[in-house]
Amino acid sequence: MHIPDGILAPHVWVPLAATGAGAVAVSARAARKRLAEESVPLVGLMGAFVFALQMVNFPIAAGVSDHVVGAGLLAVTFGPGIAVLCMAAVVTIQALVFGDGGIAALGANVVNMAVLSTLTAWAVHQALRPAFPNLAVAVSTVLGVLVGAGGAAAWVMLSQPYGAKFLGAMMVTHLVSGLVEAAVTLAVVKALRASGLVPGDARVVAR
Amino acid sequence: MKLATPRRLILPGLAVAVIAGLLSLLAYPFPDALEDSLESHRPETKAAEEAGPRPSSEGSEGWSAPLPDYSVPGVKSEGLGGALAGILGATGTFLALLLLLHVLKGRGRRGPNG
Repeated sequence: MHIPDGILAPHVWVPLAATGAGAVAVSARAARKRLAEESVPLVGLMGAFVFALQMVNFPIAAGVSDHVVGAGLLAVTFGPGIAVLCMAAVVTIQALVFGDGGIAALGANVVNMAVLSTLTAWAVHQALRPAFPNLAVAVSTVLGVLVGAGGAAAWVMLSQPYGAKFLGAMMVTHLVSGLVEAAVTLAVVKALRASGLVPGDARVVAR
Repeated sequence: MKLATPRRLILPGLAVAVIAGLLSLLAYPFPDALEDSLESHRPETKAAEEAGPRPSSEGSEGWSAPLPDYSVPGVKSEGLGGALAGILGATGTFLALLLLLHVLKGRGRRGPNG
């Protein structure tokens, strides 16, 4: 879901860069208040985990791959402030060190994966968790991926004359990868709960 | 409530290293969903073709990624380069987050507006 450079027009990527930077600043404030000192290594490790997972592209159709985003996992585990910060760090390192996602497009990619995906997943998880703790993880992950992909499609369509077929392809392919990601996220969340590394109630880490 | 201490993170850390350094080598080597959608549904108007919605280095001028496409320059073996890049990236992400959060917490201690 990483937009490369050369796709977005300046009237699109410049405001998105500002939005991404603003969102990271707001999350940093939230994270500072809520993050327990003892959980800093765990947050770092989860960021590294998401980075590693994103390297593992899996087939979603013949000749088409995708990878998990990890926004749902971070949002469910740590709450919105820490999740946005963590995801933004991953996306920034990918762009600066590995050329995965453009430099001019970095703000757009932060907005899509670290803000839209993460906050959507968090909000949906909050709403569903009391009644359906496991389903909440899966559904919030899928919707997070779809909203992030929708953002990416929107920025592309505001920059170039791409049409409805492009948007449709983005939604269908990301629905498939989102479903895979939901299964992965649920398995990891269950393993984390069982390990006691993160409490079932994520609010304790993100207190 | 027992919070994660570094000792308890050794096994999960090893798992991350295995994913970044080994499992990543099995990645399906085709364009991802966004790249494929961009390529398959490229606008057909002449103006759009001239504008060329192709990935390029435009906007990245003045910056070149040190480990482009998850490879390590100078390491000839694609597998070894990919494994190294994955482990370097995961370790770098871990350390960067540790530093970032440490600085944030440090600032938080100075006072409500610090």
